[in-house]
Order: sequence, then C-alpha cells, then structure tokens
Amino acid sequence: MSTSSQPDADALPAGAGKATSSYGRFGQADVVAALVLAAIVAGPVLGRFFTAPAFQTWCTMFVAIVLQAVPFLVLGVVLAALVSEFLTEPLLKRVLPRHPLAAVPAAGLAGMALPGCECASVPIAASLLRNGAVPAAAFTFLLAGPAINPVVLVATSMAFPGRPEFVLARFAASLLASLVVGWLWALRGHTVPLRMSERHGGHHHAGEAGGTGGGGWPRVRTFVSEARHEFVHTGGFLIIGAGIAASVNTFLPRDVLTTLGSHQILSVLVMAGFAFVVAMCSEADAFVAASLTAFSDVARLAFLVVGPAVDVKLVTLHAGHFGRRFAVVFAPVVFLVAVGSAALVGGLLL
Amino acid sequence: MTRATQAIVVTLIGAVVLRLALFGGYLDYVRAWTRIPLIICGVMLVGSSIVTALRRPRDDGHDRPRVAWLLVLPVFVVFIVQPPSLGSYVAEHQSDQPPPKRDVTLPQATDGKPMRLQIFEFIETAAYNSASLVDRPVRLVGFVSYDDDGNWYITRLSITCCAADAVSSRVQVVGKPAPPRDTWIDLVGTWVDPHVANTAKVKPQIQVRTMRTISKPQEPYES
Repeated sequence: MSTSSQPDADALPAGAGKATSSYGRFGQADVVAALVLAAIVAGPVLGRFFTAPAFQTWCTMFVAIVLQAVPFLVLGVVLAALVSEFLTEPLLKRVLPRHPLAAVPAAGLAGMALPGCECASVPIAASLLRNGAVPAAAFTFLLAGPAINPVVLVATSMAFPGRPEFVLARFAASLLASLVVGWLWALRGHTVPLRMSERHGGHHHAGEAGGTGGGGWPRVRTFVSEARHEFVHTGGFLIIGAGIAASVNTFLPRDVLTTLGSHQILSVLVMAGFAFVVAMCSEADAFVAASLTAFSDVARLAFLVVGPAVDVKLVTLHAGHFGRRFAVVFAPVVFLVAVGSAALVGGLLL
Repeated sequence: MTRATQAIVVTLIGAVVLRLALFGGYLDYVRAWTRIPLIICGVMLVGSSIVTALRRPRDDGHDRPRVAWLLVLPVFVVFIVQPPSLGSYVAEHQSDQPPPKRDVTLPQATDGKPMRLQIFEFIETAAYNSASLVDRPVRLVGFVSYDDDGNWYITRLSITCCAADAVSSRVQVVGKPAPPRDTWIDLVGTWVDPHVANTAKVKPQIQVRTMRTISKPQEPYES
C-alpha cells in the first residue's frame, strides 16, 4: 500500500534539507500536484479496474475510518497546539502534583475532560510530555482520556440499556488500568527508552517571537504551522492503523469469534485480542460489544477496556510519537494490565 | 517532505473531506451528524495551507516526517476507486446473530396502511414481540443479499461511528424470485409466523406482497 511517488519523494527532500526551499522551482511539490491531477482526471477510467467486492469493501472501510477520525484528529492537534502554547512548563508544574505517584491519579481524572476518542489523546499527551509533564502522568492521561470521558460513557449506557453497572464497570476498570500503568511507569519507566518525535521547527520561531515580544500574526502562523505539522505526522500513522483495521474488518469473519465465545477464560482473551486488532473508535465499541451476545459480560468488558487503551492503530501512533522501542514495551504492558483490570472489576461488578 | 508538499497534501485531504461532506458522499462512510464537523475541519485544513502560502519560505530541515506521505493514500482511493457504500459482501460475511433482548412495542395500526419499519426493528419485534406482527403488513427498504443455501434476504447495515463498524440485519424474503445482489428494493409484506414458542431462536422471514426496485437511498445505513 505504498505510494508510487515514494522514490522521488525521498530523493528530493535531501536537497530541501540543505535549507534550499522548494518554492519557485520544479520540485517535489510539483510532482505530487501533477500525480494528483492525473488521478483526478484518470480516476473515472481507472475506477473500472477496481470493482472486486472485497477490495471495494476494504476501500470503503479505510476511507470511513479516516473520515471518522479527521474531526477528532483536528480537535486533538488543535488542543495539543493550545497545550504547548499555553500550558507551559512552569504552569504545568504548578497544576500537577509534584510527586509522580500523586500526579498519576490527577492525570487520570483529567482524562475525563477529553472530549473525544483515542486519535485526539496521543498528540495531546505528546504535547504534555514536551512541556515537561512527568511521563507517568502523561501516559495515564493518554490511557484514561479516550476511555472514561462522558461521550464514551453515554454511548456505553445507550449500548447496554438497563445495565448501568456496565457503565460503572467500564469507568472503574479503565481508570484502574490507566492508574496502574501510570504508577508502573512512575516506578520503572526510566528503564524504557523514550524517543520523542522531533519537535516542529516552527516552535523555535515561537520562542524567537516570544523573546522579541512578538504576537499577533507571526504567532498565529506558528500556531497553525505547528498544528499542521502535528496533523500530518499523526495522520500518517493513523493511515497505517486504518489500513490494518480495515483489513481485519473486511477479511476476518465474525463467526470465527463466536465459536470461541463459549469458553470462560479463553473468551476474555479472544475479546481482548479482538479489541486490539479491530481498532475501533471508543465511541462505537460499546455497540459492537453489545451485539456480540455469545460472549460473557467479563469478556465484553475486557473488549471495552483494552480497545481504547491499546490497539493496532494506537501502537502505530505511539511508535510515531514516542519511538518504536517505547511502543514495543508499552503495548504489551498496557494490554496485560487492561485485561487484568477488566477481569478483576468485571468479577466484582458484573 | 518539504513544507510546500506538506501544504499540498493537507489541502488535498481538506478538499476530499469538503467534497464528501458537501455533496453527500460522506453518508456512504460515516453518520449524518459528522457533516458539520467535517466541513469545519475541511475549511481548517485548506485554510492552514493558505496561511502557509502567505509566509515566506524558510528552512525546511526539520519538517519532513516520511510517514506523512501515507496521507495521499485516502486521496487516491477516493478519486480513483470511489468506494461505494457497503453492501452484500459485508452482510454475507457476517453471521446472522439474534438481536440483544429488549422491549419492543409497535405503534397502533392506523388505517391498514403498511407500517414502515427499519429492518433491525422488524427483527427485534419478530424476536421479542412477535404477536404484534401477526397479519400486519409492513414496509421494508434494503438491498439484496444471498446465503449459501440459495435463500435471499432484504438487508440493511447499521453503523454507529463509521462503516468499519457496520453490522448487518437481514430478513429472508419468500414469495418472489431473487433480484440480483445489491439491488435496492422497497417491499411490502407480512411476517411469516413459524408457530413456535421462542421466536427469538428462529430466523425471521417475510412473505412479499408487493415489491419494487428503487435507487440507493441517500442514507444507505440504518442507525
């Protein structure tokens, strides 16, 4: 699924890296523009070759996931840019409790205020980290935000009418999982390499502008440029995740799941694994869980707790923002803690 | 990726979002409520590039995440493949699950006109309040899908967020030969009473009275 423009694309920025701008000469941007024009003109003709139902289904789901994510992604990067602009290091230090162990629950509860799903939380957490938040607190926010915000809880209560305990269990299990991961990180996190994605070049200009008392237009441009950089960066990783999720949704028949649903412990792991590969939006997953009636309540709770915390789409986003070696450790830890938390809370409440 | 290319890519994504949101194509992929957010985002994405275009070129050194190239993929997919709303392929690859239990009551019959029901409502009613469907003409709208045994179904997909979470509801149609796959039909018929105690365990069927072919509705999914 790579693009044909890749070779030219990588060859050209090498020149651009030496501070020569590509404005005003025939360069990378022109190639892209030409290719896209060609696609728009030739699209209706080429389209006739792409009519296999499975392929079209994949394309529809892929476009659907991307389209659904765009508003949340834009919201996320705008909030992230606001965070990096206004929630500055000194302010953050004053707001968050100093001790990492105390900062974790504060960050977890702050997650309740995130108005969106997981695509929004990753850039915000990255922005918090860059501004000097304790990693443990940033990751707690990252995990709690998409799982326990009011939109998701209302969606869950609509999906399970007459079962308020399901909403409570989801809230408790997700919060517990994010706190446990946060505390684990506070204690052992220093052993995991964390490589932040490059800070956008424009930010240095923000510093200059601030230093010279600049505001207004340059500041707006910096803000826009930073947000757009973040969008392109996060968006690229989102595309990978959307492609994988569309493949799973297109080619994995749900019947396979249903036949595995009868076994108690196995069904919990199956649903947790399903949540990981299917990478569903946290506002939609409750409805899917409700429709999978062959599974026990605990298994469905595991689906709801694992999904917003870690899935293929999120792993690609984490790798992009925090480094591959981080993602390789973070994903399994979160997965295990989420499953354990769901089993514990589900056993008590459901 | 140079800043100029980045601006083009973001403009393209914004243009695709705007095109789908303004001309109705978005309903093949997402729910109706997303229209306003999508329009706002499309304007913001296109607008952000205008802001960049107004600024003088600068050092591009830090500004080229390679992964950003993938963002052109959905643009090409939308323009070249032009993927249609989901249809029989999805329905035929899902198993027909009994609906989750819930209380269903249908409105009182009015003037003997057939009652318009969503397909999932019909299935729920057949499972949990079947008495109210006996001898009552209902109208269903959906597309045609088959199964391996040669039966055919009037089918509709429901989505919660986007097409990737589509769940199919379908009712087997008896009394008419099957139209081709994915034909959209509007039919009036009555529930076939299986005469068993627990109708939730039986796949619902509808006996056709009248049926006509229609074009795809603007909103192809139930919700």
